[in-house]
Amino acid sequence: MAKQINVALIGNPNTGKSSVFNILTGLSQKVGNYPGITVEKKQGTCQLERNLKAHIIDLPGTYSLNASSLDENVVIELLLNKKDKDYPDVAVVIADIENLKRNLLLFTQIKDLRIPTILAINMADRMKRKAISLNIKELEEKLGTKIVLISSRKKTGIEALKNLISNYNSLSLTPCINSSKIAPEYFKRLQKTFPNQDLYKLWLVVTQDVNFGKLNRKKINGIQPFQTESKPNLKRLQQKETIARYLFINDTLKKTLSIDSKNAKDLRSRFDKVLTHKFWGYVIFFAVLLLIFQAIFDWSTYPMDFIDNSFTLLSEWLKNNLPPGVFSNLITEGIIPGLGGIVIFIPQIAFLFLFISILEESGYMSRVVFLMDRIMRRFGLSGKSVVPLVSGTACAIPAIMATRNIENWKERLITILVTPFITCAARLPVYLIIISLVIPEGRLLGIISLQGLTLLILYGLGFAAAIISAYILDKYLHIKSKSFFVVEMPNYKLPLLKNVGITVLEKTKSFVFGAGKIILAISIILWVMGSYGPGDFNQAEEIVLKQTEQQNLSQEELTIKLASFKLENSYIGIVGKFIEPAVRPLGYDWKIGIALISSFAAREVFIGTLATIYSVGNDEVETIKERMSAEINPSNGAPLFNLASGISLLLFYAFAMQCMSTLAIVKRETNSWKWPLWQLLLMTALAYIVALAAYQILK
Amino acid sequence: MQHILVILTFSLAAGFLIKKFVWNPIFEGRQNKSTTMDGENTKCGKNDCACH
Amino acid sequence: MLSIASLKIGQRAVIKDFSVDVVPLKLLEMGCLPGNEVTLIQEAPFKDPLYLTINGSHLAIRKEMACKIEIELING
Repeated sequence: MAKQINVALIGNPNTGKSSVFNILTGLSQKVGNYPGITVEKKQGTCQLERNLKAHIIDLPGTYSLNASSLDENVVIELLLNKKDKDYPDVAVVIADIENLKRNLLLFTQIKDLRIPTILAINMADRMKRKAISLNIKELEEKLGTKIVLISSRKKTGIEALKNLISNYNSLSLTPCINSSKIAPEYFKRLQKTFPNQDLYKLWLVVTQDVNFGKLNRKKINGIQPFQTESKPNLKRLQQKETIARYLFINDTLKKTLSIDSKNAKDLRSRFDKVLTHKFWGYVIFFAVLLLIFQAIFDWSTYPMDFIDNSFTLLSEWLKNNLPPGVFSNLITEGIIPGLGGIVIFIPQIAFLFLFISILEESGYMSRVVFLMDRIMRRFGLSGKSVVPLVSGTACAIPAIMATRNIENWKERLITILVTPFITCAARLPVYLIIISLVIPEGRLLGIISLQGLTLLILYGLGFAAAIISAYILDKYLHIKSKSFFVVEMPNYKLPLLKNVGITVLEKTKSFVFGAGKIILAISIILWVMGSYGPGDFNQAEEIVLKQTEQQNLSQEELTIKLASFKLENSYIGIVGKFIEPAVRPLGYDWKIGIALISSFAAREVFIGTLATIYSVGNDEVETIKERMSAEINPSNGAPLFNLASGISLLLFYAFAMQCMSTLAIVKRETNSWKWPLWQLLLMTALAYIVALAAYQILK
Repeated sequence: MQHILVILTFSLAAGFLIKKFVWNPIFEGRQNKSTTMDGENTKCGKNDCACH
Repeated sequence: MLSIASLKIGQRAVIKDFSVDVVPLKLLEMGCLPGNEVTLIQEAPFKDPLYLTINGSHLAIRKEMACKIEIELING
């Protein structure tokens, strides 16, 4: 009978905890969410021995059990709740040999909760280079635990770790610190009121009020109102506890850890001198950004073309092989293109996250945060907003999820609200086709192509809009928030391919499934709305034949006229005509109006919708562009797509909040509908006004 | 026959969207109250709970 | 008052006592305790943020926090 035990992996950030988790659980890991909150829950299984399996949960990285953020709170919530199904039978604290002193703070806290705890010291492969030596036996004695040296990079020590986990019953449960020494009177009272409870655990529950919010009191049975100390006094006691712990740790390490600093090699300082330099630091950062974007554009064209062709082939094959009928058409004209529209962005998104993940794994991202924090703060953002803003050039969805590490709620909220202004990958197809349609092909000063320049300006606009609205939001939003900023500067290390791979997979999945389902659903609905209609729609053939009796049209022309009539009288055509008065001042007609609405599924659907509208019933492979350039504006007989309407359209897409999937994510991450609704309202209003102005001025 | 399939698919798609954008927010709002970190009903962002 | 914000690059100092409300618990737990050593490694433009080693930990904090922590220089 296979037995299963619960193992919790806990540790400071940047200790390689995720790598250890990945090694132990491999592909069995699943990532979900803790119920009701936006913190990732990572768990997996590992076969320890023949009849013993471990259910491993990778808790969020934290520096101490005194939580200062939502994900740190998850850790203490679990460790205080014996009834939780994930409550660990054994805790494995992952430490980093170079930061052992600080890592041990968390270790001693967990040990004091009387949970069997193992200390796994990671990055042991660096000990020689840093001239660090450790007396493990003595350290084990002093801490009352079992220690294993591991290297997630070289994959050493893992079997020994598994062994220790299997033998968790032999671990001592003696606390490291006698917590009551901090304030003997107070603790005596505490113990008297709750004689059955563990002292340190009580202390943590009481201080959670100070740190955070009131915990669900049911965690400790029968808590009656307890005459507790005042908040400032409790804070003072917390400080004393921290000092006491560090005294213990310093004392312990003095006798067991030695560093020969003369022989230690220090790559970090040498890199930092250049990478955080007041001038060169920034130059290098922008160069890195440029390189990344260039690479993404270059590399993603091949897979994108491949995907495009594959989906076209699939669509054609299905069209030829499915029984003719309306459902088959739904599949080939609605579902397949809808899916294609999602899949085609995977290369760009995957590549962007590949680069970001490499930068984070290497430790460089912390330096970027350091460089950019001051500038970002002028606009109400944080240095940590850089990653979301840059990620937004691929897709706003994973970008917004990346804001979770911003401690300050106001800074995080503002980042979430402005990220959709950044030019995302989905806007590109729209930009490209409109630009090639209305912007002349010349060159400015003989060097820069006008079309390329327009694209660059649009990117700049997106970024400027984000920054400026952040500034405005900062001034007008009155939100109190703790402003404590600290970023650890980890040692530089070579990114582990496995970790990078898993991260890229996760982020891409979040796009595909987060956005994908919504896009697909809306595509289906739009297609159906365009293929059915009331009244006249169902007598289309008769009516059109009657209308064109005198004109003697060819079969082809008739087909086009029929398709056009059907579209105009379908449900979606009715909606389009209904909103036409609103969009005419911007230079659009009802067909573009329909396309704008359908962009709420996903911006790139604009192209597909126009393709449907303009080439319905046309067997010839006429490019969409040609059809678009042939479109005439009925009110003045001139081409519909001209410079004025083109620019108006570009600006509309730059500023409008059209992506429903993004709204869904904003709602989830801010836990309310207030914010996404305001976003929708204000961004769309802005887009409308700017597009209106542009058309009226330029026409 | 094909029409029926289309209507079915349409209803599934519409139902999914309604569930996601209309039903869930109402339902989750109620559920959240009991599992919230701060039993005292602090809607995140409204006060200094740092719950995000 | 001589604070962390007054350090020059490469200077070492010892942290002096500070009141409980001044420094958040988290910073204490990361090693910013009276008696511990602090060194300035690098400063961003406008001296904000500051990249320091505190008690062996490499981290960066904003100037407004650094100003509140009093220090005593180590000479020599």
